[in-house]
Order: sequence, then C-alpha cells, then structure tokens
Amino acid sequence: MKISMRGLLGAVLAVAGVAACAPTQNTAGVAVREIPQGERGPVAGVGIEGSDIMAMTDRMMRNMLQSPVLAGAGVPPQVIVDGEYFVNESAQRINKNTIADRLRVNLNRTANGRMIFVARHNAAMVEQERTLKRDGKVDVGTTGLTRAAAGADYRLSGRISSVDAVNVGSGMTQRYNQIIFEMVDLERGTIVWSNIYEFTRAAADDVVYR
Amino acid sequence: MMWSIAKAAAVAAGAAVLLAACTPKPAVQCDFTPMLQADAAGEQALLPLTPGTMKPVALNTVSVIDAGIRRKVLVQSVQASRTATGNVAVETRLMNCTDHPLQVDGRTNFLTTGGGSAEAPSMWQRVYLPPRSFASYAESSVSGPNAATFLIEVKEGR
Repeated sequence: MKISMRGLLGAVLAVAGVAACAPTQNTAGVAVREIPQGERGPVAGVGIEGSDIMAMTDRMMRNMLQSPVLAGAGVPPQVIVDGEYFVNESAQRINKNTIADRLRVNLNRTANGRMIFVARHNAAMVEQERTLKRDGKVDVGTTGLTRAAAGADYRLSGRISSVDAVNVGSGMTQRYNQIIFEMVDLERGTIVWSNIYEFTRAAADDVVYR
Repeated sequence: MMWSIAKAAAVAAGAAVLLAACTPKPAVQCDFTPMLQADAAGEQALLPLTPGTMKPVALNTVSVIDAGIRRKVLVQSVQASRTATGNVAVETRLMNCTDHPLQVDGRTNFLTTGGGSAEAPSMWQRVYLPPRSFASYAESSVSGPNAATFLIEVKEGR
C-alpha cells in the first residue's frame, strides 16, 4: 500500500482543522479558586450545598446552646450527636455524617463543659481498650478505670426530606429542602429540643450531587 | 408645526404631573440621609490602629457592607438581650425601601469588652424582604459572658 504525500498532508490538515474547531474552554485549565467559608461557589444546584451545611449546623449549634435543658442544666447532660439516627429521605444523595460531624465538633468546641459528648460512634474503639486494660495487657492509664463507659441522656435524631417539581416544558427544576433536628430524651423518649432548616430553590441547569 | 409640538408637549407634561399627583405614595417611605451621615464618634466603636486611617465602625449596630443595597435597605431597629443561658441574643428589623423583593445575608460578630473576638462570626443567614416591607434577622452568641458587644453585617444575598 502506497501512501501519497498529498494524502498524508490532507489528513494532517483535517486533524488540525478539527482541533481548531473543538471547544477551548478547558484548554489551559480552569484555575483553582478558594470559596469563602459559607459562600456559594460557582457550581450550585437546587439541593443542599456545602454552604447550607455550614449555615444549618451553625444555626443549630447556636440554638442548642440557648436551651436551658441542654446548656443550662446544673449537671451537664451527656449527649450523643452522630448520624446514626439522622435519616436522608430526600431526592439528593448526601453524606449525612457531614452534617452530624460538623454539628458535634462545633458544639463540643463552644459548649465549654456545658454538655458532655459521648463518642458512641467510637464505641468499639473504647470497648477494645477497656478489655485490654482489664485483661492486664496494658496498664490502666492515668485517669483510672470506670465501672462502665458513659451512657447518654439525649441523642440527636433528624430527617432530610425534599419535594421536587419539574416543568417539563422549560426544564426548570424546583426543590423544597427540609432538614429537621431533634434531641431525644433516651429514658423518657420525649423531645427536649428541636429546630428546622428549610429553603426552596429553582434552577434550569441543575447539578449532580455525589 | 413648532407651535403644535410645544402645545402637545405641554399637555403631556401637565398630564404627567396630574398622574403623579393622583398616584398614591407608598405606605412605607425611606430617607437614607441621616443613616448615611451617622457618625460613630462618641459611641462604642472599632477604631483604627493608626488614627485617621479608617472611619470608626460603630458597635452594637448594623453595618450595611454592600454598597449595592445601602440605599435600598433601612435598619429600623436593633435590640440585644441576655438569654437564660447567659448568651447575647440580637435582633434587627430591616426594611426594604424598594418596590421589588430583596434578599440579604446577615451575620454577627460578637466581641469582648476589649474589642477582641469573643467567638467566630456567625455564618451568613438569608433574610427575605418583600417590597416595602419589614423582616427580622436574629442571632445568638455562644460564648456566654465573653460576648459584650456586637456588630451585625448585612450584604446583598446572591
């Protein structure tokens, strides 16, 4: 098979032409930019954004610390704040631990002893160390032994839910997002504190949450 | 021809004046001049490290940091109180002086008596202001007695 110089030149020019017509948006790359904490970035949709998680956990934390039951008790209550009983029933895929973890960390930083946080999400880790100490495989440490690991007075529960509406003509999507937070008395089963974070957004160009 | 154009213009101007006189004035009217001229001198304020380099920023009030809404949103009131748990609860009532709905974001800096930060600023909170109407923004501190003064910042919600 013989390839003529003219044919080769034509092929090269054709490839160059296609390359010249291709979209050049990302040719040089889009520079990374920092998004100020709590501000919405350039990629946003109708669902729960990172800025919403920061805003909602900040609001819940501030509100919890105004509760006399949680932050004004004579003996600081022992609480569990984790994602175990925080359920996601919304249309959006979301890591619910992001919400529970941020709430717990900020509460622990600011509560300043007004609440005691039980690390139930690390129960296996605690149990392992307790067993090693009692078996004599490690010493007792410096803070001594307790009869049992800490129990909790209250535990966080919550639910993320949403209502979607889509206009098939315009492609416009609208979503109502509702996130509720409740602190449940683990003996009596009553709710000692609750709050809600809700918002509605509409957009023609939605994004993919993953 | 010239005379008829002038006559028509005069009639149109007269009609416009009459229409303006008949149009009811909005129930809520704003005058931003006193607010824009307000001076922090004599009040509790954040002062510059080097005198004269920065206009003092008054504390225990609202600072509209966004020039875009400085002549649109009026601060009607600011209130503060201590909660049962010893924190500071602040509330401000904002007024939308335009004929369009507005969205603004508010946050609060809680400061110690010495002017230092008592805690991290609160996260921005969206406030929806219907046309010619009021809405409130409220926030609470979490640092107990450390929070002595505050500064609420308001910007346009985007």
